[in-house]
Amino acid sequence: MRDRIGSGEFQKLLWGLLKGEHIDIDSEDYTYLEEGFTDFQNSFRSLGFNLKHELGSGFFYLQRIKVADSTEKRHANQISTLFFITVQVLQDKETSKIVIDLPYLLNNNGFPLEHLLSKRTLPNHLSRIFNGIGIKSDEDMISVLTRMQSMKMVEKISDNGIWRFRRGIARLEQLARSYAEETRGEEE
Amino acid sequence: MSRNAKFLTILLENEELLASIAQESEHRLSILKLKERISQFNPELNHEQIDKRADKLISSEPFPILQDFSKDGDVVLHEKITELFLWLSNQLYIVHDKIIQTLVETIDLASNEIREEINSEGKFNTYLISIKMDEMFRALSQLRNISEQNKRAIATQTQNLRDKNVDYEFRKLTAGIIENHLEPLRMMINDDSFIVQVIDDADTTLGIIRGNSTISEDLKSKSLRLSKDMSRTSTKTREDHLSAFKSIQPFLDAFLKKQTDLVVGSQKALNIMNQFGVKHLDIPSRITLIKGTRANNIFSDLAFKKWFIRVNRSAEEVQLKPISVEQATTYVPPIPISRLSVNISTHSEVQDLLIFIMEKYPNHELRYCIKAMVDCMVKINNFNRLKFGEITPYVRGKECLEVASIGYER
Repeated sequence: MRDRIGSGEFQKLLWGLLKGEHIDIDSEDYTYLEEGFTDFQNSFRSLGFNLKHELGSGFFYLQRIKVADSTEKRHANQISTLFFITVQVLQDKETSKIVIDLPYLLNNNGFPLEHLLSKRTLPNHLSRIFNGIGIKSDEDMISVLTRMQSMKMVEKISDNGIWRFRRGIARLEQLARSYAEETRGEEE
Repeated sequence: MSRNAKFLTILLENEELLASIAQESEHRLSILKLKERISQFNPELNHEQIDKRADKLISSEPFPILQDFSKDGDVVLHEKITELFLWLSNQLYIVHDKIIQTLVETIDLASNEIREEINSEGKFNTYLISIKMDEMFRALSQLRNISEQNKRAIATQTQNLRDKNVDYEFRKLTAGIIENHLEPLRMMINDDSFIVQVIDDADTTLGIIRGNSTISEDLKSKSLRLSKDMSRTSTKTREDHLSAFKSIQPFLDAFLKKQTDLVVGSQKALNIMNQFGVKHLDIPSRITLIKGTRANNIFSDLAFKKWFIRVNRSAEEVQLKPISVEQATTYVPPIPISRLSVNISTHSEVQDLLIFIMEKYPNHELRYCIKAMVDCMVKINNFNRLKFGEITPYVRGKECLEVASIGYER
């Protein structure tokens, strides 16, 4: 492990985690983090971060112990909103009785997100929500997707706007489900 | 969520329960039985949740879905609920399957009566046969009109389901009612359905008329027209409904398919954003982490670079360098320029300034002596007193220099 810490490879991994990357089971670093989890956990904690391991969904990510600043909150809001809207659009688009859940989203063939989330195709009420969160043009929308790509939550798989979701998206799926549980809690 | 949407959501959630209460006499049920029913239809709910759901049905707005008669502890389904469903149902303008069934039964009955008349032992009544055939013509004509109306109504409902300006809950409720309407219609237009069987039987009966030599040519020709009309109507009714179902089915599926918690949660989150703004969502801001250099960042890019350098250095193997005591160099103090310049100035003539300094400071290296000479010349600050001689070699240790000699003359 020490050899790797000294190498540029570790720097890359650490930088990635700090920039919000989700190291999923498809990554070579996954096993590395899994093996040295306790050591890494201690080191990251001393730096003010928690190394989280989503065992069920198969990915690692860092979480800051300290409260984030406004820029970070804005980015988090944009990423989450884009995800919620994507789910809505896919639900409306999917005309067969296919259920929209995590396995559906993790489909390797991906979705034409740039087309589905474009201002030209998005219904007005969803487009207004995008505006409210600061995603005012298609370029803004693509830059949020690109930010999510740098976090390894999505991946662009073709030049014609096809993106696929990666395992890290499970965090956003959990977030969405938490609202459904809240609703049920309020009503029951 | 608006009050209407909330009301419709409660209706949708308890559709089966309300249908079961509607079957009770006087649409009445005791509270105890109501809670039992809620538990039957929703086995996942605990006691507290069952109580809350019952309260929600009793205290719904704009009017209570279940009216509470606290005297005898019974609840009664509000009459407006049945009216609402009936109204919504009428608003669809889709002709009920029972009307179609009645018309088909009329054709069947007429066909059977004609067959009985032909099979009767005595002379059969051609007038009666003609009247029954007219009845069949009328029924067929009505069937075609109904088919056309249903086709238009279903197309309109398809558009309504697509209309994003209408509340999602309302569209979902309508989709449920449409589905209830269409289900028996689907059964009716199958290849082996009641319509097809009746038309086949009636066609056979009409064939018998055409094959009977005792029947007039007029009646035979009427029978042929009726037969063609039946075939046309059967095809049209089935084709119209099939094409209408094909267009509406995807939208019905979209509303009637099971919504996962992921979809429900996303909808809820977007509704909150629409009503109160994103701040009310309380999204965990820890979804992202640092991004490049920021003024208030807890770790700047520079801090990380330094950290990496330190980590890399600690990983490097330290090579020990041998220290030899013999090679130790002695300390040489700097040449005092002020004192040396005063000393030079006191002399009336110094033949060679560098030689003078080198003799005075024998332990200093040649480069220190040259520097001291230049410093002294600057300090004395009188160019006229300097005297330049020939090129002269100066050597000390391994250092050597070959320059013009500089003397001093007062």
